[in-house]
Amino acid sequence: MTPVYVPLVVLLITAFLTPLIGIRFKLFRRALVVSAFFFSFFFWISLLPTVFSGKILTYNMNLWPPPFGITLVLDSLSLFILVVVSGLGLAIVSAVENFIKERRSEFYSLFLLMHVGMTGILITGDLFNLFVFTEIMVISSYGLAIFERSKKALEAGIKYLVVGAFATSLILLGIGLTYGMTGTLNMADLMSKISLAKAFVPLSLILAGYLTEIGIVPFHFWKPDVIEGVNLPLAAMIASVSTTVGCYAILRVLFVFGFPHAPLIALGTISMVVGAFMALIQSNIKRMLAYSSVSQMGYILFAFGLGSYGFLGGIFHLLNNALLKMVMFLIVGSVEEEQVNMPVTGACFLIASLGIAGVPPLNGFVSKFLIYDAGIRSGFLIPTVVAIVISVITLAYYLRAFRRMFSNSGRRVKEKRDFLVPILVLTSFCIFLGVFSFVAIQALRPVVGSLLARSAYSCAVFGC
Amino acid sequence: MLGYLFGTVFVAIGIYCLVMKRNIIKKVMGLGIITAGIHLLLITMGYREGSIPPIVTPENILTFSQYSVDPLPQALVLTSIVIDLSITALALSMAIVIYEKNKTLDSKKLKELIG
Repeated sequence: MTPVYVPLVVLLITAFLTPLIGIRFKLFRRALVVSAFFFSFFFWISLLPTVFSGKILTYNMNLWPPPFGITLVLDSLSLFILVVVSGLGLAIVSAVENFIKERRSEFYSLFLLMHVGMTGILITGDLFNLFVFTEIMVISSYGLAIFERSKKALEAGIKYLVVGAFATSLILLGIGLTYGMTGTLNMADLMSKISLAKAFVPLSLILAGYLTEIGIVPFHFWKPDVIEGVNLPLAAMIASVSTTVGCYAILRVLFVFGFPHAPLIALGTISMVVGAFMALIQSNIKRMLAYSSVSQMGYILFAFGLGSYGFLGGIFHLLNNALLKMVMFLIVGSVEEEQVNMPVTGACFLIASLGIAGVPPLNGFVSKFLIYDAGIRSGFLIPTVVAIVISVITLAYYLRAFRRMFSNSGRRVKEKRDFLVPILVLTSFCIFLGVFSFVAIQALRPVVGSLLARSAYSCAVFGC
Repeated sequence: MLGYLFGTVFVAIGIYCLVMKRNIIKKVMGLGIITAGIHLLLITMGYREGSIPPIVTPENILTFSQYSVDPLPQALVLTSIVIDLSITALALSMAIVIYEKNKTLDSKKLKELIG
């Protein structure tokens, strides 16, 4: 019984405390938010050795035994994503003050609530609770989307709200049908009571909802519009962090229901192709990044469709995509005009582009190589060839964007220190993951192991 | 059985409203109708003919599980109603600001983000 809910409570209390304190003590406010993120980051880091050695931590809320109460479960997969999410949250929070000039308290409050939702999604072991935390996450993002009341932001906000609310109501319907069929909502309990063939309708409803949240073709239409319209910290959150959390939710649901291979591979391949070609014709860098995110999510879904072969590549690519998209958005935020001369930022953009396209020795190469390898080994040759071709197109549109943004002969702009610190930290981490990829792969083994160990999960919840 | 029928019809009407209507307020109403339909489906799922409300008293504690409706869907629907309320409130406040800025609620006339 480890109290794994502690960071959740800390973030929640900070979310409501920040506006109160922000009235009087403006300086203290930022320190409070950053320290809440630091706390949750280091709390999860401190649990890493225990959980990665194979132990699954559980906590029954109000000490009700499962399957009657809500169980919180922390296995290697959720802990891994939690570390990524809280680390990237820290990276954004350190740069937020450059984008948001007024009403910062409200921004921090909603931003923390979004993280409460994400943390909840990642630690819950109950299907309905997953839905509730998803709603907390997306409703706070709707609030953040219309934070600056420009026409663009409002249009993006209402689009995001209508599409997102429809998606979450599909998830609710799917969860309701699942309950009707099995009489339980506890994930560990569901595992023994449901099978892929029996649960076709509820599973496709839940999946349609979450695929909309992460923006897979044909549910991707909202993503470029929203990412172009909203303020930059939220755009970065949607493209890198929310998407990762949505992917986790899909993985967790499929972990319970079982993996349908063919639809995931088909949707993933279509997504890669459509995302890459749409990115190629964009003239706005934010839209291009949004379509690139659609394309990379396609790779990840394709990898998960390959089953146990593809998990390693898929999870590694999920990490790489989150890190590199964050770097990209921070760079886009610090570059305000075309054709500037910013050597360090430009170099980081180039490294991140090469990383996302999959050029050795960077991290994207390793994860994409693992995905190709899994694709060939499980006999899906045509989608694998498509994936290889698409990664060349990825390189093409990123290099085009690089040439448009940076130039040696352009105006010399002073690089902003607030951005440079997170950008450099994340970029060097990406290089580290690429060069010492064997370390990363070794560290990811327990995560992949937890995705395969269904019996260990229910053992941890019910005891055996 | 009637509950399932009406629930499905509500969801269908809501989706029609969401897709075909251009006015933002009507779209928000569509969302509300979809959610109401889903709530009706959930409640019907836990309903039994001639059953009692799920309230435990000292008198019925032994026979409670045989005669009561399933309380869990009702708890789920209560949670979902609260969520739906907050989404509707947020959407309507967005609609107000959109009207102030654009002087229209027609979603086809919002054309800032295209490409």
